[in-house]
Amino acid sequence: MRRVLILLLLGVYGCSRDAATGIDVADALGGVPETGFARAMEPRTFSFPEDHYSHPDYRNEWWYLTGQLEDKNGARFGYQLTFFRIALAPKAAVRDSAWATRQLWMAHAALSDIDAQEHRHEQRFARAALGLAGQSRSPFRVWLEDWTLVGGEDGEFPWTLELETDDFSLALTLTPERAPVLQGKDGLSQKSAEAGNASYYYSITRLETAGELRRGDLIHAVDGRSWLDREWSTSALGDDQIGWDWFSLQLSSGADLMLYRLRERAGGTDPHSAGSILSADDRRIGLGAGDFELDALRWWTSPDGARYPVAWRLRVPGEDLDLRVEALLDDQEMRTSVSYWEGAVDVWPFAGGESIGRGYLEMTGY
Amino acid sequence: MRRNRALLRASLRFYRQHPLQLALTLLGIALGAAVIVAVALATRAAAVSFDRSLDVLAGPMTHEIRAHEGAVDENLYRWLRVDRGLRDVVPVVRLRVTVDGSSVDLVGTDPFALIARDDAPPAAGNALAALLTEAGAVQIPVAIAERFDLVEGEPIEASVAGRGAALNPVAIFESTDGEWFGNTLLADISTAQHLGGRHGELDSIQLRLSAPGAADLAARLPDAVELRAFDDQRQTFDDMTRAFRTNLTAMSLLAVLVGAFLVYNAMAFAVVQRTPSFAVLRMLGTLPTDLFRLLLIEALGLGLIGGVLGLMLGTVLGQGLLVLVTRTVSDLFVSVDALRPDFSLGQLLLALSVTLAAVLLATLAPARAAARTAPAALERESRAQSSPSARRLLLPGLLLVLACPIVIVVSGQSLLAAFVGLFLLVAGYALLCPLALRLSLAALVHGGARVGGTALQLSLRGVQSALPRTGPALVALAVAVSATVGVAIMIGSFRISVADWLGDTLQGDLYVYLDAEGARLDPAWQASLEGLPGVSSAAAARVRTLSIDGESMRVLALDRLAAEVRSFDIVAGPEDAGQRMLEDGRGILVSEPLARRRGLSLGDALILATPRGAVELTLRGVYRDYASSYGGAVVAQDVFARYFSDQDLSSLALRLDASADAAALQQQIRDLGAAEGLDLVVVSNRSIRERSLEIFDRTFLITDVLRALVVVVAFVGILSALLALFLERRRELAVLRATGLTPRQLFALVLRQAALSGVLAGLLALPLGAAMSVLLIDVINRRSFGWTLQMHFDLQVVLHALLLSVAAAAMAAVLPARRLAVSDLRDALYDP
Repeated sequence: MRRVLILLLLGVYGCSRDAATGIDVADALGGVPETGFARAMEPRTFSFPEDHYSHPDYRNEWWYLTGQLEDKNGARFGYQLTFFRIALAPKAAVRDSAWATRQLWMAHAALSDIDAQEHRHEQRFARAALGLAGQSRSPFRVWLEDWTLVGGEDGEFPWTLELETDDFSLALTLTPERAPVLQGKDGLSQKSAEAGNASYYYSITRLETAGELRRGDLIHAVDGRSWLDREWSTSALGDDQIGWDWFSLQLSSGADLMLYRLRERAGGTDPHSAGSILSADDRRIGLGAGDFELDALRWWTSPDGARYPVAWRLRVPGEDLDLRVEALLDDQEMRTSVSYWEGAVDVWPFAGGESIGRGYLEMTGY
Repeated sequence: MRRNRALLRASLRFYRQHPLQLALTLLGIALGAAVIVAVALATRAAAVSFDRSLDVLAGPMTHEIRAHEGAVDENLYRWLRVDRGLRDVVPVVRLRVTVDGSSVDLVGTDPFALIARDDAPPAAGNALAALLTEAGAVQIPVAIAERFDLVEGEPIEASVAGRGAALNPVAIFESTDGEWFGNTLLADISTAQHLGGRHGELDSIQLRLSAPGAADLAARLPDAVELRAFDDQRQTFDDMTRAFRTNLTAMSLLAVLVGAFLVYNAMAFAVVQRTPSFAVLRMLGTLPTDLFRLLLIEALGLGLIGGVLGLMLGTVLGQGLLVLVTRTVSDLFVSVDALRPDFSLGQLLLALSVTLAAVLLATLAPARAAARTAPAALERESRAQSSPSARRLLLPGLLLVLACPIVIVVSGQSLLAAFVGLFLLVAGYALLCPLALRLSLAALVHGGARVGGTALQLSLRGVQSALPRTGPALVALAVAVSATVGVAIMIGSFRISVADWLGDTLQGDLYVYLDAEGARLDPAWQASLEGLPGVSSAAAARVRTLSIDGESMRVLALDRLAAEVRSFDIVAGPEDAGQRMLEDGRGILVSEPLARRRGLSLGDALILATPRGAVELTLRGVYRDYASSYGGAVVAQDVFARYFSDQDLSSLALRLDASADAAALQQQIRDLGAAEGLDLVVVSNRSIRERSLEIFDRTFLITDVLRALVVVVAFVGILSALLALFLERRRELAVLRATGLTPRQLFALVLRQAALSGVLAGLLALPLGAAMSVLLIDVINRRSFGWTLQMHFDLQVVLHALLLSVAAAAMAAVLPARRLAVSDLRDALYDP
């Protein structure tokens, strides 16, 4: 459910030129029309590893990894690496050039150094041509320049993730602890009323993660747990949806909770808000907009003036959940072409007591 | 203090009484200063313009990767980004696009290489989707859109790489002057490769690297490419144009030198005129040092006023010179496009200081003379002027003249030293002039008494008696004219050398090449043109820009046939060095400027960078070449065949049968090209020669202009000297009138005297001019450009010099003579 970036990029929210990155990517990309692309109309049969590969007939697609890591001294980190595939047109003019493409790749990488209370991030773009970026088979590989996610010959796990920035680098091995879970209705995640305004969406909610991370000049051996979201779609949200709050929580009970609230322009919760709980014994419990409640407890104001709720009360009365979810670091804002907040959180019983889970929170449209 | 004020008031009164004198002195100073300023501003503007065009090209990048030869393989870009993990990397494909008959640059690049940058050009992100996916999509800066009247969305009929193409302006963007990629059409790199037929090729890859990063990368790059720092290109431009700029600066200093004579004359006059009042002042207790100081203060005042006027005049003059400098730099070195002189306070102050220094130096002798005024002396005749006697100048003059060859011999290849030598020669010669004038006049008067009539006698004696007053001005005129002579002989010799060289070099009758910089012909053209009726042979020239010992230059590949139509005048090495090189296949010939600049000698090993690695070649000969002051080289075609994958031709030289119709053939070949969509240029031997000489002449236009300016300064000097002279001799000349000379006769007498003076100055100018030409040709030109020229004396130059000198003196005399002829006799006779 991380369509925020794409939607914003495609100009749905018409943001202004971002001084920090110089170029207004949203403007640059313009509104790529939906016509000519495939759309998510009805449930489909998913098959793996086939569906780890890209679905170029759809306009947008992403491989979204977030996770929390810890070194042997207990120093905690959060990380994000996302590859976005964005088709600029259903078809492109024929050009006698190896650079010719209609596909753009964007990647966001972030590291939250919890002990140092620092958040670092970087954004990259590349065309799907000349081997600069793309998704290939044999072995399974998603890459944008030297940021890579590589699997086995046929996409089998473990996958390795490698990325390098000036501030930090990651070299992690990801091994699923659970099978992929299809979100929405058998993987069809309806986002607004109109047919086709939906995505195909699956998650691997727990991946055992181990490797090394470099922060500045210091290398830490780390392990922890990641969450993979895969989604592809063509159509946008409705005009009256301005953003969302998205949670991916791994609870110590063994249950994993995914939940998003779509916010309406008028301030209310959109009825297409949804979520799911994958219980410890692998039962999937779907959640509708009426099955949960979210209340902001504390806000943090970004340097640009956006006011993000960084502590929440999350209730799922039917499942007897009453949680407090709070950021491990207030400033985990991604000041990329489009600013949003994406960061590591801890989960407590709202009534008080020891932490009962970890996760990631994404907030957009603030 | 009060005493000083009184002295200054007296000075002001004096100059108020002689306004014309004052005006001319100021004009002379102003002209001298103006020439320095103008030259400095114009040459600086050319450099600044080059820097700016480099800025537009480089933007925030520091380095670029280029192929030693041809294009950069695009896969290198992926290697840099993906394998090396470099971020500040931008691929560039550059095309020339013709729209409505005029051409503009089109840059194809990867918008994603720019998009996330803080310093991205304004065009980088606009209409990204359209750029990537629509046919012929380009973004256009507003300035170009307005120039060609282009509108967003309206297709443009253009021609790219000699073929028609439809461009589709998907966005028009604002850009400011000098912005990175701000003055070109911008397209996605795939569009540019498609339009230009450049599949797989890049022109360059721009990078931003730290110094260690650059060194590390340079060591890992494949042999076929090189990493160059943009700053080095600035340095190269600086180095290339240094000699040219030094030459211009020297010319401008000559104007100051000539102006200094004028100041000397004017100040000496001012002293002589005021000798009685100085005498009175001395009687009243004014100290010699006060008078000395007074004169220096006067000079300083004149220098400041004249200098500031000169700065203003110079900025205007600089505008004019700029056009010439820019064109010459573009013709000789690299294309620059400077629009306005570049003002730098430092340069203005420097010019002002040089002017003031010259003025003060020129005033030293007159000021000493003023200081030596005896109390109550009442003489006011010219001969009372205590200028250094001609004889006393003999020794210093000789010493300076002798110092010139010594400086030149011991200074090796230093251009600056060569100019110092030149100035020593001029200064020494100038010091010898007064004695030469005096002796020659004495001899003439002696001889004239026997052969000539009274009129000639009278004129000669007049000139002789005027010498102390007019001497310095005549010397100044002689120096100015000698510069004209020297430069004229140098340019004349140069032109003849170039013309001869062109004649030797261009042995073909018709030359065929493609109308695009660096474009090449398929080798098949050689056979097909050779097969045309009327063509007896078609020799192929292959020219590549290659790196020799790390320096990029044009290298020509020679085969047996080409050697027949391109002869080489070997200046070092065996006469048949070309043949020997062809035979052993491992030899190389280099042009004279390169050999001189790099101090190469026969047998030296030179490293040629090729796509297949470095090749060591042995220097077999040095040939005369005026095509580039930077240098060039020739290797055997075998070398190209072995180390380069493509054997495309740069040009073909055709020899025609005696009966062939050249014009018809030219058209026929053009049509053949057009049939294949190629824009073939077919030109005759003669038109290349004419065009080359045209560029040659254009190159020296600026020298001509500066030379003329020096003569103008000298002219002002003569005018001022004659005015002073006749002012002093009013009474004497009035006596002549009183004794029966008509105004017309008096006018004629004065003009004759002036013309005679002019002849003398002209004659004095000739030996100095000849010596200067030797220095210019054999020392300065060689040290500047490395060219050897055939010295060529031209009688016409001598006649021109004499004519110029006489005309300048006579014209300068017209105004004073007229004033004299019509002046009131009584005033002149009884003026105290």
